[in-house]
Amino acid sequence: MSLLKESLLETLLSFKDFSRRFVRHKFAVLSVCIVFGLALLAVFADIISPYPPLEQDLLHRYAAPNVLHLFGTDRFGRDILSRIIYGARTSFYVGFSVVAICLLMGVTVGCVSGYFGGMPDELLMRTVDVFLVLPTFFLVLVAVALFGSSLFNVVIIIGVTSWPTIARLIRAEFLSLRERDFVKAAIVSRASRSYIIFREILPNAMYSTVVQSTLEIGSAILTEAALSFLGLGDPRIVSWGQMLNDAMYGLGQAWWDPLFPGLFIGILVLAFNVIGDGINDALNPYLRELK
Amino acid sequence: MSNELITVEDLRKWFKTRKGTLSGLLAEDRYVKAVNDVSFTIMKGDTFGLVGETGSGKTTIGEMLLLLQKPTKGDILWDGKSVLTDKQAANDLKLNSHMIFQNITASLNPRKTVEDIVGLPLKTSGNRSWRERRKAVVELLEKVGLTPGTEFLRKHPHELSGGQRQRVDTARAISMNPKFIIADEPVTSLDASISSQIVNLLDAIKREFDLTYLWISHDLTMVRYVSNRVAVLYLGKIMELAQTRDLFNDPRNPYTQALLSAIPNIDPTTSSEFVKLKGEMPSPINLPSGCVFHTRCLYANERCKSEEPDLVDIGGGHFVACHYHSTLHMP
Amino acid sequence: MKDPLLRVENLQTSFELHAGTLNAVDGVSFQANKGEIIGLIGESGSGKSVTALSIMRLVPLPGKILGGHVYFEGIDLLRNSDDQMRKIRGSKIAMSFQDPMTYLNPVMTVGDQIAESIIINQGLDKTKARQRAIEVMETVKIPMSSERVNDYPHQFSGGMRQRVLLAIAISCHPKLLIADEPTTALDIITQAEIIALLKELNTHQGITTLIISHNLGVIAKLAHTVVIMYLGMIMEIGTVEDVFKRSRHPYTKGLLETVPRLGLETLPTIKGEIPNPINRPSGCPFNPRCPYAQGKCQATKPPMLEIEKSHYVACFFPIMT
Repeated sequence: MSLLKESLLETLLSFKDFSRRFVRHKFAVLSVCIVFGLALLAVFADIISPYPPLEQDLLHRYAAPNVLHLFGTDRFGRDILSRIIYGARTSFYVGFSVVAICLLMGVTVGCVSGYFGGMPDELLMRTVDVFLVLPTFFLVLVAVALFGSSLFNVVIIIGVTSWPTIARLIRAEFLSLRERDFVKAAIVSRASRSYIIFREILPNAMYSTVVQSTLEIGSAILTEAALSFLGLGDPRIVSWGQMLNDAMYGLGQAWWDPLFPGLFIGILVLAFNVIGDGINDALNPYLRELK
Repeated sequence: MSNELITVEDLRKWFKTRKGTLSGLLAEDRYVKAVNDVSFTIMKGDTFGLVGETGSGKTTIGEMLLLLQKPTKGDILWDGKSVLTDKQAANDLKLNSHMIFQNITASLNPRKTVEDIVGLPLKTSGNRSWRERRKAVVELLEKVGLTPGTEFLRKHPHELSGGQRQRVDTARAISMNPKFIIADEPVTSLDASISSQIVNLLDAIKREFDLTYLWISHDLTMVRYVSNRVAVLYLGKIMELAQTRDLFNDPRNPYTQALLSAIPNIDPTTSSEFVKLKGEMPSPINLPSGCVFHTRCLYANERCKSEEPDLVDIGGGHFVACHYHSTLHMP
Repeated sequence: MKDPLLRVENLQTSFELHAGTLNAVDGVSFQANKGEIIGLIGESGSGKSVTALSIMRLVPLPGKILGGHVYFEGIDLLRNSDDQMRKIRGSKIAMSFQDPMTYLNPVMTVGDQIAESIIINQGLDKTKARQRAIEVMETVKIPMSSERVNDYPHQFSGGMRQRVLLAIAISCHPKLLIADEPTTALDIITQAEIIALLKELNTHQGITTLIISHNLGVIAKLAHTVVIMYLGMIMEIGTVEDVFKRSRHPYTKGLLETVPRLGLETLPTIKGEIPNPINRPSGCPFNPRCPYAQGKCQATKPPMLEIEKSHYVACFFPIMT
């Protein structure tokens, strides 16, 4: 193997290397800052928020952005800025919970399917097919009808309809990785099956999954916003989608009412997508070394 | 106390080829017949060379010997006991064997450190604290020529050169003091100036640890140097098996003769005639009838086409599978 | 005194990498006379493949040819425009590569791929090109060529694919064929067949050939002249007999000694590892590993000297026994 090729195709392993490549993407770095900033807002909402998000001020309904209310007020006189800040909490909660479910189910199924093959693989993949067919929205409708509309239910359903993608990614990686010599070496070294799956193969299989998960966060946030906008979400919590739903009533009257939630949804989801892109590029060894 | 370490009896490995679900239900099963009724014995202290081209089944045999693959038929005896029926014997084999791989094909997990890689067999055999394991790993690294060992502990495979990776692979293989090591193309992907270092290292290790090697390779010059006995494989069948000197000086199977004539000599003044063969190697899915080599052999006749030759003992531990071995002497 | 077909003079190609500058080819000079087979031997990092790519002006980014001359039929290729190079590639100089599967289009039949080169370079129409493709497949000894011309690359074995690559290369009667590691991925018997084929192409078709390999035996069987490279520089040049039987450079000698011979307790080795080409040792690149190195070797690069007729060595202390 040519040494020249080797130095051009060095495998990514150190975080330092990865960060160096990642920071070459200015937009990705910007997106990280945006996400971080919004996360701070979400965490310190109680301190930062100027007003309680549910506090109504019926004397100042539909107030345009002014000194007291930087983003204006909605149809109940609630401060939009405060609701944006608390809404960030919901978005992050949804995003990360969904991804957690996806990873938990997807990785488990993918590992078992990819490593063992044969009958377990067939059975699991047909199950995956079933899940892929399920339409998210209709499932939510059914769930809302049966169990009521709570954020928890929404998160569960989005998670349950999104994990198959991760499962397939992991399975594909496992199918190719399990034939590698280092796996054979681990077997000959008498490592247990779970050690081989989780400590030998999985760390190598995670690359594409990391990228997909980042994109999934954005996608989950967007789905929740859409559901809430359609009125299927949880009316008791503050969410940007819910704010859009509320804004429908005064459509045309108060431009600030739908603008800010819509803007923030767009920015956050876009930020996650760009980060995912940046991670993908940084993990790709072929784009390296070009000064 | 017998001198036989591993014996292989009529070993066979056929892989079922997968067809699409629909056509699979309708058509007959097809098999990749990788290894076909192979028998040989490796004695303690041997370096047993297994040579063959791609598709000869040599790697599959190696994997079966370490129980990485289950044989379709046949038996493997470890110290006289069958590992397929006797669990104790199977355990014994696994505890006392290891493998050295072709380094280019990622025999080292790219996500792990040298310490993790070399320390794995020590870990799985339990009972040692991480401190003890680390000490053992450092000793092993220095034994294979990576000094100071402590400097290499935290490195990842991509930070090592080809020769260094092969040394790490070796360190892992000897970490549990095995009796038997299978070396699958250990120096094929290394530069010439490095491969001789590794060959010397493996030789030193063999003497120090009193090892037995199965050396799988397609590099006949190297096999001739390291092995004391060699088996030549073609399409999963042994064509010839002999002491190294006998095989190279007096090959009796036309395939062996063709192989030997094809070795490019680095002395440009010697001209060796390369024995040309007919056609190409058939697919292991459709093995030729009779002698598997008959489709390419220049001497093949009707008998070769219909009757499969047995592996016969022609004296001095020299076995040949050819109907006409007595008439074919290398010019 | 005939002019050589190819004359490489002080060729320099380097790569600007994040880790540093990699001088892949640093002052390489050699020549090939018409009808000759030149064998370029080198281990990893020797720069042999980059040399070939530089001759063809196919060096991938971030590589750049920094200087030197490549005279082909008297014209310096490094001064050519892209258009002029395109006319030369395929028709005057052709190249085949190590891994056929990477260089063959999996969705085109083999016949179409060979014909494609013919149509582009010789302007023949489709039928004539296809006819010619079948002829070329016969020349490279692909059996049943009139039927196999419609097969796809994956239907061929490794050795056959290499023949297909060679077929594409010689389809337009090139004057120079550059074969980069033509036998490396192949089994011994197939390797011997390809060696025989290359020899035949040279003797019967008169194609001047530049063979690049790390396999000493292959070069010994094929080449008339041998060039030994190490870390981007030439260590020794001579006839195949001179280099293999009367090696003067410690590296050449060391390399030949690593080939196993019977009766040796341990194999002779060259101590140490091949350094990363980015951190090439100063002076003679081989000096850290050379058993005869002295202070001078570290300080200055040894010049290439003609030590015997047509036998050149770059060493201050060549082996003279």
